[in-house]
Amino acid sequence: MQLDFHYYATYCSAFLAGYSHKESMEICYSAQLVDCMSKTFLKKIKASPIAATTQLSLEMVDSNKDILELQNITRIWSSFHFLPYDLYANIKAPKPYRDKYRLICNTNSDLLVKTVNLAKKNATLQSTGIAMHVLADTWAHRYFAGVPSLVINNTNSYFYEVTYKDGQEQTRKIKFNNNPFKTDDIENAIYTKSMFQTSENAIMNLGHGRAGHLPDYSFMRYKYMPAWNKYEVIFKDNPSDYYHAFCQMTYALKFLHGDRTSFEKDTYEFDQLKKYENKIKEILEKRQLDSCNDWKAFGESLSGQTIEPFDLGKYEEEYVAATKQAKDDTFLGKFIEAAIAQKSMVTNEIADSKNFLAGRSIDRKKRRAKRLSKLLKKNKKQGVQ
Amino acid sequence: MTLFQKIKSCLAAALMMAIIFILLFLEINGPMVIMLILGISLLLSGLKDLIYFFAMARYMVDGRIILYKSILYLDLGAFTISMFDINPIYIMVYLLILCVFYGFLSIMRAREIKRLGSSTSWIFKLSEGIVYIVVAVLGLIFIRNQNVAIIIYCAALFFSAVNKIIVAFKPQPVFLTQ
Repeated sequence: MQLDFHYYATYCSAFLAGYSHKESMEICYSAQLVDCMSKTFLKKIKASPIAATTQLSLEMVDSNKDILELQNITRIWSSFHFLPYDLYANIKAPKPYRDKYRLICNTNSDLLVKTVNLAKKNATLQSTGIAMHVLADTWAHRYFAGVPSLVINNTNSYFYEVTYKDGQEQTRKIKFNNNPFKTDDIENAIYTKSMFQTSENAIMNLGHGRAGHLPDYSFMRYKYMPAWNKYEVIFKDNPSDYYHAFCQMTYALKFLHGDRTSFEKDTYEFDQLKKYENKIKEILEKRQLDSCNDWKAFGESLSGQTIEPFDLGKYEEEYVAATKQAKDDTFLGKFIEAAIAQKSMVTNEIADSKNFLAGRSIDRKKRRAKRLSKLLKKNKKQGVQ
Repeated sequence: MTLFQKIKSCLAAALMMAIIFILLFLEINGPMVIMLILGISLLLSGLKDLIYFFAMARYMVDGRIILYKSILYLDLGAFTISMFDINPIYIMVYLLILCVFYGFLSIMRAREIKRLGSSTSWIFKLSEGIVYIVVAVLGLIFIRNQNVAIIIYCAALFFSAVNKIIVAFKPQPVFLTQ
């Protein structure tokens, strides 16, 4: 998903769930910040790089492709952009394949419930925004894994766009190029995707790179054959998936706002959003590469307030100027805490399933407490002697 | 290109330079050394791909391509090593055929890069392909004079090594999605 959904659509969803304009702005800002909080940005504001929620292209290209870096990549992309669906999927295959297969992202997973509950526990608008980013991406990125893998994320030449004319289904072949500087051509169905590389752990095989930006366009309906699905074709109906994402987001936000007692899987706010359904679907179905303007206009019509454009540097000064003790109370400080909590939770859930592709996360607070207790014991012993 | 790939590329270039040194300055049978190194590296690549196929790639769509690749490498590696003690002229013919093959591949790749219009790196590839083919032709002309043939072959290796170093340090655009 892109800025249009993570920022503007999340604003609309938060406002419809009962949050004020100001709160909705903070939630949608946090949701979009997940796509911007790179190691480079964290270094710039002198924050810990372990809070990174995304990686810039050049960061990945520059990184060493050793086991530790692969774990770092998996931690980031699985925790925030490709939340695994079934960490215990029963599949007859050797462990190296099984471990990667189990990281395939899909909607309504146990991890999603844990993500939303973690946001409830943290009770900050920043953690709410992060949870909404993760939730929305489970819809757009379903069937891809947040780990570099040829055997999971690769695609072949079978790619067809599906459109409907007078109720009749029409298909046309999608052509791809590998030129990163070319803009996707909707009219002629020419899109850009990452290059084919036979190396299992090549960065080109991360996420939906081999399907280009197709999962990120809300209007797109397409059929394709993923590497992992035993030659079976998958039909992705983005307008329907995005609508489900919006309705599930509103439901989750109502829970986080305190209007619902629990967050259940496969539950959506269809009834409340009935009166906006046509408008939302109209935006989602519109054939355009960027629907920011439409979502912005919809959001502003809902709240009557102006939605300012996303500005990455908005809270930077506040964080940099704060003293060490006060940093945790700043906007970015709270975001960093929430991001580390989310990353830690997902990483440890993956590790608990005996899958170490993401490594294991160490609870810093617990470790600090353990060290302190050891030190106290040691001092006590020395005192006795 | 990742740092690891850059290092790999530089190591390959260093290996090529070492082969040039062995061929030109040491009094051993140069072509045989080349065949041995080439054969072993092909065998290792084939073995690596075979393990990858049985552990993972056999479950993926079109995964057999990895199996075919590994068999091709293993076969080529075994064939290369089996030619260890034959007449050096045949070895030179074999190496020159490989030169034509790489030259042809480079030209095809240059055409593809140019068609995509992504960068000017197609010129590199095209020049690489032309040099390989010119070397093959010159090598065939001077095949009876083994010393000249080896010098020509070393020139091609040197060109390839320099190309690898240039590519390793050249900034490259990469497409990734978020």
